Order: sequence, then structure tokens, then C-alpha cells
Amino acid sequence: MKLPEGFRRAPPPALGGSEDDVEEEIRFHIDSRTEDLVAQGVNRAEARQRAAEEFGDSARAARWARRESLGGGRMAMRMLRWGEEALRDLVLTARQVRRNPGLTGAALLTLALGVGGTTAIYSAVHGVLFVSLPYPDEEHVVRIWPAAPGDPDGGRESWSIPDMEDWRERSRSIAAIGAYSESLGGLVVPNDAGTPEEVATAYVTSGFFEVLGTAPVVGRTLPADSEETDPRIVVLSEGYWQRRFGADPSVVGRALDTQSGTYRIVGVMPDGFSFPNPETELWTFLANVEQSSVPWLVRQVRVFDAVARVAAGTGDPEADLAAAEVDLAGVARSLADDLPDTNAGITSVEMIPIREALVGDVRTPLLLVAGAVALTLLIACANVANLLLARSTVRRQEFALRASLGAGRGRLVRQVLAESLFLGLLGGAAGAILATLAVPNLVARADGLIPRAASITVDGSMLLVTLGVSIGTGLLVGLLPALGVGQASQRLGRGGAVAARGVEARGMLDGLVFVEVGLAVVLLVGGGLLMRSLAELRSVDPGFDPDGLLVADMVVSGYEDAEGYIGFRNRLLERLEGLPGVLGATTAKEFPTRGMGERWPWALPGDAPALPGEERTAQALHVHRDFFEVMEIPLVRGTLPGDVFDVSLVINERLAREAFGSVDAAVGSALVVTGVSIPVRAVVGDVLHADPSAEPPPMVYVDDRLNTRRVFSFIVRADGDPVTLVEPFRRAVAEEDARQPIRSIYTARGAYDQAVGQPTFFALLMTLFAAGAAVLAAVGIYGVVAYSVRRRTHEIGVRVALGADRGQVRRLVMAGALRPVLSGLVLGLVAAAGLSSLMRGMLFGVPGVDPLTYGAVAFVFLAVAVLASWGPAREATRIDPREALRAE
Amino acid sequence: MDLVQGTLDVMILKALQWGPRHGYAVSRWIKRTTDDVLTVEEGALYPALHRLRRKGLVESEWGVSEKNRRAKFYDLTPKGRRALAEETRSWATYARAVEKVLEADGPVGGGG
Repeated sequence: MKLPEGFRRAPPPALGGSEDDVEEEIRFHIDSRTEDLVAQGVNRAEARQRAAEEFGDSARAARWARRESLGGGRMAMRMLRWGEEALRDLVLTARQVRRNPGLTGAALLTLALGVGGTTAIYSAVHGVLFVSLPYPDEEHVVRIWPAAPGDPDGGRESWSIPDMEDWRERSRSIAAIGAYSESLGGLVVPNDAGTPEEVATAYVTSGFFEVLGTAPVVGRTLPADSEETDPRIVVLSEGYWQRRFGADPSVVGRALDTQSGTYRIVGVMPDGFSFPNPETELWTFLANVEQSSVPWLVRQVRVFDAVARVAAGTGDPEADLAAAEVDLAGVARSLADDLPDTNAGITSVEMIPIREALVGDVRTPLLLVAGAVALTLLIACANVANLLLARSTVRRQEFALRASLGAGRGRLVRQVLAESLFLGLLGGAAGAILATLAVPNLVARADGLIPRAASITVDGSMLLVTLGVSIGTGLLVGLLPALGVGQASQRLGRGGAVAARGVEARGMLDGLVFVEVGLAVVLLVGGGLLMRSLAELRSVDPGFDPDGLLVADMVVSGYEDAEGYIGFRNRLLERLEGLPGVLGATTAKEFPTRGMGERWPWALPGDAPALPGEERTAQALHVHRDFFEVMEIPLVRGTLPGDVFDVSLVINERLAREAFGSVDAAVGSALVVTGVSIPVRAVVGDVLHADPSAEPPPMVYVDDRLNTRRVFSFIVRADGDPVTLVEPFRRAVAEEDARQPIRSIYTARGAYDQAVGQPTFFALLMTLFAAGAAVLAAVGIYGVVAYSVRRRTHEIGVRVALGADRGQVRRLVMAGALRPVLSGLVLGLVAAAGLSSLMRGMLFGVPGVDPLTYGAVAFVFLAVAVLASWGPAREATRIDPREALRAE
Repeated sequence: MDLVQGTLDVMILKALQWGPRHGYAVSRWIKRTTDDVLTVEEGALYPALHRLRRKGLVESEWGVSEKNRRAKFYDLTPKGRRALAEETRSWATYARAVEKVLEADGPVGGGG
């Protein structure tokens, strides 16, 4: 090469010297620049500094240049370069974040809510459905019932203790079986202040702890063979141990003084052992329940629940359970053959794995809510992708410049992904904090409504899931913008145009709106259906007037005989009726909606006797005088009993129709209950059981004097707010007999609300997410429309210049905005109709394809789209064509 | 304004069309010729020069001035000259296409 004037060829470099002395090249560059600046009159020191600043990071340029001259063949170099560029991506990202605090904040908030909600709900799903139960080899533990296939009321029977003992002896497939009851009234123990307190007690047979297999924290459980020990022993729950004994391990062997005698403490069960109930605090032998209270030695007294451990034969739990079912059905049939008088119809068995029995009811709603939160997260992602995509189009110039200055396509894509990943991780971190704060709140609300709510925690494994979700989210939101950038730079590389003006970006934005609207519509339809269903549930007439009723459940103890506690009951009622603000007071064995008494078989006189287990049954509730008046249960036919029932029955409409075909035929006819034919004196209205979505059961009301147990629900009708009567009620009890504990005191309205608590909880959760999704979608629509108006300023300017009037411009903008919304809406409605079958079990009184809900959702979304595009459309009409065209 | 990837490479080739220059001269020439619209990022200039040399589009040689200052000069190779001609042609085609679009007098198309 011929060098320019003033230069001669340099001698070849010394051996070992580098020919590519980039540093020297760069030094020359900076020196030359310095000289130029000095020639322009800048002083030398400043000139040198400016030249160096203009050049930037010279060491880096040198490194790069060296690598470029080496080529791309060397892996190590590539890796080095990649690492260096990744670091630079981070710096660029931090700069972007600083430059756009508003956008970054919006994106972060959206992601934090999305990820936080997801973490919280998935913690719940995990804790309730997947965390293992404290029962070793839980797959072999089952809830079990004898079954009568011919039973018109459904096959499942309760257990009697003699039946259970026979099953245990005759079966080969059961390793252990234990019966229990949680509704026999707790032991009454004076608390620290000396006030008697009824402690929730489960009465169990000796196999109970063997079945569950949970190890105690201290001491031992109830022994498997009850006959060898004194039955007056008791096991404490962890909570009760903490509360009463300060978690003192030396409690084992100590005495627990109760109103029904002294029990010896043998052990403490761990936290989380909550069978049969989370409320259960004491476990003792059923042998401590007297026959005069519950004649549990009688084979026909079928009132118990049972759990069993199926023998692990094959090792495959499902096969073992199936084998056990066959074996036990055989046992049932052999008992029915041997004892036809008591067991003829009971020829089968039903069993459910313990986990299914505990959480089966909430699986569908929980998974549904989990699906809802996943959709909400997707919508949040779409929104953030939207923001980033809009911005990446704005940053097209920046990217193009960097591309022209040597940044490769992969490099640019990576930068976009680095930014979105950074957003995802930051949003995820905020989301994890949100979830940690939200979960205890969620647990508090779910307590008592969702089984195993206490096992819901945000733990390490959940945070790991959150991390995964955050990374996934970050990549997802960056994907579309990155693709956009990739395409742009690819086109650039071929020497094509950048000026295609984001047509494909526009398509992507519309696509996002379409997806967002579709998902949000599905969610809103789901939430809407649940809310509608809830409204239907709440509007079901319970059959009595729950407003103004105060109820207190009590187990009366400390009296020698029936006269004693009935005397107490009557004196307390007198006191209550004398309280100011009380309109009336009565008692029943249980308060409807909380319990409906016992199941009694009934027949018509002259009916052939039904097989045991196949009798028609009705709920029999023992009630005291004035019950119907105080409850305001309407009398349909006949006359209500006065002070005593005499020997006569009051039945409800449902039973009247079932037994006699009509209400009119019932009064004066006789019904055979408990083997005795008794005339019906009155028919009253139906009363709902706990679950308003279930049919009211057929009922027989029986005189309370036939109540063999000392269990009473005192029911008081207040003239006004019943809550004001709580304290007077407690005082009245204390004054009458300070030894008597009140198990629980509540308003009928509260009990009724609690009965619909679970559907309310899920409906509110769903609606919460649906509302969030709708807001996100609205924001998304607004963002896209506003952006497209900005982007089309030029085009709109041309249209106005060519004579388009404001109406046309507005229509143009709004039509553009509504198109993806409409298609999203249609897709969403169709998808929701398809998915609504998943919800069928959760809906009451509302069809899955409910025109009202679907119509309302469609209307809401159209309104949202119109509102979201109205502002930008107005803005578009104000575009001045001259300025718009000049700006271009 | 928007730039095309690889533009820097083409501009460097163009800057060398009239004979050898050193890196600093290339950067001054681009800046001057584009009326200061384009400032070459020096950090990218030297990697680009070395890349072009590796691809065989330019060659380089060290020179020494009377004042004994060493500078590295770059010159086009025949392959570089061909590449420049080709890039210039495709750029002209592209520019004409854009011009036709911009000067079209038909109605403005949709665009969503």
C-alpha cells in the first residue's frame, strides 16, 4: 500500500512484538484528536481529557478489536465476551430502569401482584392438597362405613360398636379399625380462673390411634387394648398442652380433674394432628361414656364414625383397598346372614382414602381458584409484555443504532430479555414479600372453611416455585419484544427497511389485547357465576327467621338424674324469658343448620318391616315447648302442642308428602317411629340443614323429655340485636348454676352465614382475581389504543388533511381498538361456556351457561373497551394535520 | 436517524476508497461527510476495522511520520472494493424503492 504523504513504511516489528498493537493505534487516535482540539484553541490538558472521554473505554475497545481480528472460532474467547456483554446488559438494564421509573414501576407492580397472588394461592393448594398428613403410610388409611345398597336414603350407614368389633374379628384385610364420636359432649374442666370449660373431646375406641399411627410428642397414645387398662386416661392436643400446662413435658401421669371424674394424662399429640377435628383437644375412651347417655353397646345404635388401616398386602395401596372392599363386603354379608334382625340390609362397605375424605370437597374449588390466579398472572404478563413491546418500538432507534455500530442480533435480543428477566425477578421478589404478608391473612379467613388451612405456609419450596414463576414470567414478557427486536435487526442486516413502522408490532399488540380480554372474560364469567350462585344460596329461605335469634349450646352436667338437669333447663329458661329484650326462649337438642338430631327409621302402620339398613328415615329432633313459635317456623296444618307433646308427632311438609302423599292426609294419621305408632298432630314448614344447597330433610319433632342426653341448644328470640343478649345470657347461666359451661354461643344469622361460608370464600376469591384481571385488561386495552394513536399520528394527520372529519377519525381509532376486544370477548365467552362444566358442582341455582352472567360480562368488556379507547380517540381528533405531517 | 446494521462497515470501506487512512482519519471523515449527523462510536470503530481485516476486505500496515509517530493505516483489498460496489448498488436500489413509496400519490393504505 502507498502510505499518505508524511509517512514512511515502519520497519517490521521486532521478533516477539505484536503486530496488532491496538493500544498503540488507539493512543494515536486520542493523541490526534487532542492535537485537533488544541488547534481549535482548547488548552492541552482539557483537550486530552476530552479526547479520552470521547473515545470512552479504550481498554475495552482494544480487547474487542483483538477478538475481532482473531475471529469467532475460539470458544473461550466467545465465553469471555459473552460474560462481559451480559455484565454490560445488566448495566444497560439498570440504566433503562432509572430512565423509565414510571413504566418500570407499573410493570413491577403488575408482576408483583401477579406473582404474589400466584404464590399465595399455590401455597394454599400445596398446603391443603399436597402436604402429607401426619399419618404414616396414609394411602392405607381410610374413612369407612357399612353400606346398605337398598337404602332409599343413600347407602352409607353409621357404625355401631358391636358391628365394628365383628368386622374387625371377621375381616382379613383390616390391620386396625377404630370408631369415634366427636359429638357426645366434651369433658368439662375448670379453667385457671375456676370457671368450668367444656373441652372439645373425641371419644374413641382402642383401635383409633393404631389406625392413624401418629407418634405422640410426649408420653404415649391410648393403648390398643382398652380392657387391660383403666379407661380413665386422656391424651391432650398440643394446643391444649400449651394453653393449660405451658407445654410442660412432666404432664404425663398427672391428673386432669373433670366434672365427670379424674382422668390421668398419658400423652400429648403433635401440632397438626387434628383428627377428627382441628378443634379436638382431648381424646379418651368411648368406654367413659355411660350407657344411660349413649347405649353404645347396643347393635342398633349406629351413631359412630370409623377409620381403618387397610393391610398392606401387595404394596400397591389402590389394589389393597380394592381387595379390602371385596373382603369387607363379604364380612358384611356374613353378618347380615348371622344377624338378620339387626343387619339384614347392610351387605356392603364404602371407604374413602383419608386425604380424600378430608379435602375432597375443596379440591375442585381450590384448583379452580388456582387456575384463576394462573390466568390472572398470564394477563399480568400480557400487560407487561404490552408495555415492553410498546416501549421497544419507541426504542427502535436505539436498537437500530446499536445494531449499526456492531451489536449483533443475538446481543440485542439478549438485552431485551435481560431487561424483562430483571423485571421478572424484581417483581417476583416483591411478589414473594406480598405473598408472605397475604398468606397468614388468607389462612385466618380460610380457617374453619377449608380443611387443613393451618398447614398453609409460604416455605422454602414455595419460594423456589416463586423463583421459577418469576423467571418464566420474565422470559414470557420479554419474548414478544425480543422477537420484535430480532426481526427488526434481521431485516436491517439484509439491508431492508426499518421503516416498516411496526406493522408486526401492531399485530402483536392486538394479539395481546385479544388474549388478555379472552382470559379476563373467562375469569369474570367464573367469578360472576359463583357470585350469582352465592346470591341464590343466600336467598334460599331457611324455613325460620334467623334474625334476632341467639343460640347457646350447652351440655348440662353435675346432676344426678334427668329431673335434675331438666329442672336446671326449666329454671334457666324462666330466667331468660324474664330478661329485658327477650321475646321468647326455648330449647332443642341441636340448633337446625348446626345439627338436625338423629336419624330415625319410620314406617306406616301395616307396612311390612323393612330390612335393617333399608328403612326410610327422617331426622328426629327433640324440641321443647314454644320451639316453633320462637323459631318462627310456620304451622302448615293441625295444631301445635302446648306445654307437652302428649303422645303425638309434629312432622315437616317434606315428610308429610313422603309418607302420606299430602299435607292434608298427614294430620290425624299415624306414623310408626321407633317401632311405635303415633298420631301426627301437626305439619310445619321445612327447615334447612347446614347446607342450603341441599334439600331440606324429612323431619320428626319429638318432645324433649324423650332426650336421653343432657345436650341443649338454648334458643332466645330477641327484640332487636341478639348480640346484646350475650352477656345477660352468660350472667343468667352463672347465677343459675355456676358449674355449667357454655360450649358455644352464637347468633342464628352467624350460623347461617357460616353454612354458606365456604362458597362465599371461594366466590370472593374468584371475584377478586376476576376483578383484578378485568382491571389489568382495561389498562392493557387503554395502553395499546393510546400507543397506536401516537404511532398513527402521521396517518391520522394525512386522513384529516384529506378531509376526514372528527367522527370518522374517532370511528377509525375506536374500530381499531374494538376489533381485538370483540374477538377476545367471543373467544372468552366460548371458552367460559366450555369450562363452566368444571364448575357445575360449585354452582347452585345457576346454569353453567347463564345468559345473565355472560351478557353482563360482555357488556362490561364492551364498556371497558369503549371507555379505554375514548380518551385516545378524542386525542386523535385533535391532531393537527400540519404538525403531524411536519413531525414526520 | 435509523441506521442499518453493517452501515459502519460500509462507511469504513467508503472512507478508504481514495487510499489508505488511519482509524482516526476514518472517524473524522465519516463525521465530516455526514455533516456531523453520524458520530462513530470509537469503541466500535477499531473492532470493525479489525473485523474487516479478518474478512479480508481491508489490509493494514504501520507507518512512521517524520516526527517518528507510528500510525496504523488501512487500505481496501480488491475484495473490499468489490464489496463496497455491491453494497452501494443495493443501497441505491433500496433508496429508490423507499422514494417510490414516499412519493406515491395513491390513497394512504390501511395499516390496521
